[in-house]
Amino acid sequence: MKIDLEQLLYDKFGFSSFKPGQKEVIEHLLEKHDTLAVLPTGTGKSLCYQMVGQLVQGTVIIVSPLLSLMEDQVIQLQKKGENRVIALNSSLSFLEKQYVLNHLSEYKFILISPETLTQKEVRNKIANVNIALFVIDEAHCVSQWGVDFRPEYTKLAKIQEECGFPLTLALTATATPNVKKEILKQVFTQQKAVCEVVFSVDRPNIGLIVNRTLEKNETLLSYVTQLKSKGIVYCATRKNTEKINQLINEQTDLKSAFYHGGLTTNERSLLQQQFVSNQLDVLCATNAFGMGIDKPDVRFVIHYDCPDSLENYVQEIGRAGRDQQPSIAVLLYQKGDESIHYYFQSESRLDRTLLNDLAVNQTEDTKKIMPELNEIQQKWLQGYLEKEYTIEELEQRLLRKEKERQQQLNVMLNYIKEEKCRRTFIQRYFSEEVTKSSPESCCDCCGLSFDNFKRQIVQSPEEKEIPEQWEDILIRLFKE
Amino acid sequence: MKPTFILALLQHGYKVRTSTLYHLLKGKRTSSVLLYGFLYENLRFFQFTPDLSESKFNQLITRLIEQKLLYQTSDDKVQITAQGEMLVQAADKDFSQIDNYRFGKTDEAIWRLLQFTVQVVSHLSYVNKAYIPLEQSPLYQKQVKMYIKSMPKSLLIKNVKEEWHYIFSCLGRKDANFFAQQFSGYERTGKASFQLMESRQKAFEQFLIKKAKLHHLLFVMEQLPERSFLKRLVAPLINQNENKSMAETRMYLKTESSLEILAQQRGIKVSTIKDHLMELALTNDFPFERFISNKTGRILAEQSKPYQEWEYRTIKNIFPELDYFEFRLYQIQKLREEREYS
Repeated sequence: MKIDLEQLLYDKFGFSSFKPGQKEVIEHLLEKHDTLAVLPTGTGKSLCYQMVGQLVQGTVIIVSPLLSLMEDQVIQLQKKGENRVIALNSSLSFLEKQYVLNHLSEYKFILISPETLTQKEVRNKIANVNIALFVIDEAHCVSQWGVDFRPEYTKLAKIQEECGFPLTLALTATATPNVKKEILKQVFTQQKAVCEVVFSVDRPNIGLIVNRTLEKNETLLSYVTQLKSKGIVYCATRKNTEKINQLINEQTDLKSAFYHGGLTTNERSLLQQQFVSNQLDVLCATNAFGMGIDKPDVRFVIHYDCPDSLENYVQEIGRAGRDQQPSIAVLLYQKGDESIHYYFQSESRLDRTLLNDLAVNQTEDTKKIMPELNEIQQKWLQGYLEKEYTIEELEQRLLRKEKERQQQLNVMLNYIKEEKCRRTFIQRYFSEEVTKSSPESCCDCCGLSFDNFKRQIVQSPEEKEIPEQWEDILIRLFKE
Repeated sequence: MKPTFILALLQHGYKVRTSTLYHLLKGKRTSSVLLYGFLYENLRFFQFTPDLSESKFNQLITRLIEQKLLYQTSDDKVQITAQGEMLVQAADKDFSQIDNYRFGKTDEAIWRLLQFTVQVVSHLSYVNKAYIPLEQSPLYQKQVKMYIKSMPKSLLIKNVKEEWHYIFSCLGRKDANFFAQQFSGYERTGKASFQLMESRQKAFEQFLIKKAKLHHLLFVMEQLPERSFLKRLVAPLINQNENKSMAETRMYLKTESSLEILAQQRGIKVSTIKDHLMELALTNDFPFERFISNKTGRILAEQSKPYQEWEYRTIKNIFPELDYFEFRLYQIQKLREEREYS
């Protein structure tokens, strides 16, 4: 019997039509074809596996690289009334993890971090689960060419084998040709025919502006007050999110809050929900916010600090205008802004120096030093102790990564300096065919004027009046 | 942490050893540390800053001495100066509601449990299942589910609403709103606590204010009738603040046995039993007369106040038969009486 996917989409998810690429991916999977989907941010990649999960028997395993991303996915599913969902990662206590591992088959969707998945105990349990679909989210992390390379992702092929090569879906939003090639090589080792669904990273409804300014605070305030709509201000550091939030709260009548990894899971979840339900106008956030955010009417994304790569920048601005309505991405740049990333890179140089010292020492000493290292250093060292590579190989890898990061930053700076067309610059970088938008809605180089563009921007509905007195709050909370 | 906070902890005016204050703030559970907290009315700051390093603490003390807000005596103790006292009074901070000894270990967990329960009951009252639970942990969810199933749905909703109404009416309006605005439920997303505080306040100040408000709330909840739903929900978590072994000794205390028999029944040393009893004497109803002999009572009744300045060694020099345990119990008893009547 042929399933009416559109009807199911409406009944289960409340949408009347699929976004580009979604239906193709779902159909391939229902026909049991392994699939690689390169879909831009905002096209609802997660809906692909959520819907397939509803249609097939067995568990959907989703490997996801970020805790915040997992939290977002859990929340999305719960909002749709799906309670058989769990995020299996380091945020669970020992007892909680044991509980979950002993009840794995009760869950329909298991979001899991690559670190947790590579643990022996977890692998054994997962191998015994009836896996309907194995999803590798943010699959570009598998690529050593990419900025987000995660060594654990290279171990996924082995785990797929242990699970008897289940039906696999690899998802990513941004993949240069090199990255795509590597995903195919690493993730679909056994499969000969892999279906590919690839859509452009270009988001024609998002206008692109770079503002080179000497007064970033004033320029930012001018944008947010003129836009008067809901949006995100991205900052590079936690401190900056708090500083900018205070600035907006003090200088405007907009409702602003900050969001970063230093807040508790509960606080982050509350802020995200406040933003989604229009209780906030502006969220000042680090890149901990946004992956998988379920708010279609984000009207602007402003970068207060210089992003570290075009890949990340495209991901972050992609959170604007998911409803396809006109939206805007503004990057504020002040000479020298990139220095923050030089600092992060110098940390990587320190990592290499440390490894160099370790190479001279004996293994016993190396084990002793472990607790003094930071998380990422421990991970590198663990791989060495488990004889996955030599110290020299690791050093080379780190060196290469450093160089790649430098290159990525140079690309970002070139984007800022671009004088012809920013959209073309992005499409060329991702080796895509260049499609031209109308000049007045393309980018500042092509003639997009903020004053004209802001008139096109549709305002989000105002929030409902929220009571603030405890008596009213209790009356509304509990219906007797 | 602000140096003025440390200064406020020394406001009592007695000469004291700073290392014991440090151990109190870190949460070292020994009789001497707890007794120190009781004598100088700082017990409520027990384990208040468990992450504070000794070097950082000493730096703060040194700075206060340099600023002449503290005076260092020849026997390596410190005492607040008149200037220091003026500064503390000018700061005019009232944190008398903080009781970290009673609630500190589990206060955050209790508040999370309460918020989660409100959310679950709110959605239950609107027969809505599609919502994002505040707590994702399966263990948390299981625990709340268990309590919620303990009574019929309509009664549960009514009780929870009425109990919160009662609790909030016992708090000041500002504090009641502070907690209520953090509640999430049907068609309502609560605020994170930091959103409800002055952004100009420093993190430590916010921490102090939040603790004070939360501990006052918990104090009010403890006064609820035993059978009330919310009290039953939080009681096991509040009790986790107690030393478990001590709580067990308290049970045996009802049997009116001697110290030696108590130790035998509990299977622990007499000295440990004494430690437990001393801690119990600080805050619980305690049968002081059972453990203080008439003779000790007579000796100590002749000593002059203040009780805080009594030194065991000095009095024992005059009365060599004076027992340390009885001496301390007497000191605690008298101080409790004094505070009760003041």
